[in-house]
Order: sequence, then structure tokens, then C-alpha cells
Amino acid sequence: MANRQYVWPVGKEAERDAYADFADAQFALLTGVPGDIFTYRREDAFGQPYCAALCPPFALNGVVVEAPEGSAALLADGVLVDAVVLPEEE
Amino acid sequence: MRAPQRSILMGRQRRWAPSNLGASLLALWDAERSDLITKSSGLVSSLKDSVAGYDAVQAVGASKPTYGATSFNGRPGLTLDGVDDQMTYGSTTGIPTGATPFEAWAVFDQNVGTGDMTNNTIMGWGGAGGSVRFDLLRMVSGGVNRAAINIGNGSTNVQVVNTSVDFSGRHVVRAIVTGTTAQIDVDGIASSPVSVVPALGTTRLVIGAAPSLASFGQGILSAAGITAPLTTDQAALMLAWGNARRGA
Repeated sequence: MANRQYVWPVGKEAERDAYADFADAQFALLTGVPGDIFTYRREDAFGQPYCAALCPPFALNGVVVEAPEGSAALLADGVLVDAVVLPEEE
Repeated sequence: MRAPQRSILMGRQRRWAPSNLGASLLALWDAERSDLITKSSGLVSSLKDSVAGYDAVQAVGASKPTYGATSFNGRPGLTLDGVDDQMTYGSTTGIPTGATPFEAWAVFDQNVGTGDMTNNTIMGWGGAGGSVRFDLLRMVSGGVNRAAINIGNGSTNVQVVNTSVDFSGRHVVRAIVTGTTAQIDVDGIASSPVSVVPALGTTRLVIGAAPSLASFGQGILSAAGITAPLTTDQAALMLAWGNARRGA
């Protein structure tokens, strides 16, 4: 299954980064590898910040990872989507 | 002493593999080469090619392909999610660039439905812009999944589509770029050649996305490789090798 993504409104990069920092830290705990990074931080075709969502259907060792406790508090403006619209290619 | 039976002797012969192409094999990233794969928790962070160790890497967890020991027709495969999975070889050392002739091969289980009209790249290299890169991809044309290639000629991007084979499920794809023409074969069935003089850049090679790090591939990769132009016999052996993997 494909990863899902969280998308924030334009200008909410700080909220995206806060969630991404949290997801990276939780992912490192799950893998047991300090410093492991879970997600890239990018903007979609509309300039909206997004990153991958640490929640189902993402899986480690074939086991679906549930959203870590504390995720919801960081997602006030984040919308969960199946895929983002990527910027127009060159 | 009795002479060994012929069947025993034949049983000791090694099965043909792309390495038998010798210098014509330029690079091969192979899900069955577990010795060249670095993975943790089922996620692949490094896939080295078997010719010179060209290392396609991914440091970010959500973008790492998933390794499956039996995911490709009961054999090893790397699952690309079509959203953000890709592995990048951050160079084109050893990879044909400019107008150098080459062939690109992939044994791939393409699982995007025809309702998805985006392009999904299995492997690409060159620069990020469409005019200076090569992509081996899946697209929808006429409501059917098709294998296609995009080739930059320095000023624009030329697309070649195989309209003969439904590119759904497991297939062997072969792009033939001669330096003046390009075509794409699927399971040995050719497209018509299209005139193009490639002008490929040198930025990176990407497995699972275009060199622009977009148009993500979705499906299960058994192997992706690059060769020099092959003879008819060599190509037939490569096709037979890929067909064995896909169960054809």
C-alpha cells in the first residue's frame, strides 16, 4: 500500500515541520536507529507544505504502523490525503 | 569407472545470467542479489548494481522501497509505492549519457490501474529537465496501460509508446536507444522506432521515479539494468532470463 501524506495550508511550514520532526523521532524509535528520518518535507503544486504520514498503511516488517500517540495534537491544520499533486515537471 | 551421465554434467552447468553479457552489461540493480541490498525492518536503504557497485540509496524511511522475499512471482522483489518511494544513484558514472547508444531493461510487476492517468517511472537518468533525461515508464494511452520511454533531445522530450502490449502485471521491458532512433519492446514485442538523437544529462539515475524526483513508479521491481546495444542472440537471452522471473 502507498504511503499517505499530510498537507497543510500555504504558510503552515512550521506546523508541517513540527509534525515531521515528531514523525522522524517516532520512526527512529520504531526502527531502533537513532537519527533515522521518516519523511521528506516538500511543497505540492499549489505551494502547500506536505510530508508523509506516519500511520497506516505504512508498514515496517510487514506490520502496519499505527499513528503514534501525540500525532493528533500536531495536525490541527493538516489534512490526510492519499496523494499530493506534485509540482509541474520541467 | 563409469563415465558420468550427460544429465549430471548438464546439471552442473550454470544458468545464463546477465553477467554473461560481459562488457555489454553496464549496470544491473537486482532484487535477487541480497548481498547487494541493505535493508532494515523490510525497508531498503541501498541497492548496489552488480557490475561496479553503483549505489542507489534512500535515506528517508517513508521513501524506501519495501523488500519482499517472495513478492515478485514468488521471488524477491522491491515494492515501489507510487507516492514517494525511489532510490537515487547520485551520479551517472558508468551510465550512458549524451547521445551514447544503450538499452534499458526492467523486469517489473506494474500494478497501477488505468484510472490513474499519471506517469509512473520505473527508472530514469540524466538531468532533471525533460529535454535532458531518459525515463522508462508506465502511462495510460487509449484507456490501456502502456510501457513508454521519454527521451530528451536537448530541446524537447520525445515519447515512444508501445501500443501493442497491455502493460499490466509482470513484464519484461526493453528500451533500445541507438543514438538516432528509439523503440520500446514489451515481452519481445516491439514498438515502431521513433527518430531521436538523445542528449542526456549527467545529474543522477533514479529507480522508482524520474530524475526530477517525480512521476513515481508503482509496482514490484525484480531487476532494472542498462546494457550496450545487444545482438539479437544476447537480447533473446536477456528476454528469456526476464521471462523466467515473471513466470512466462
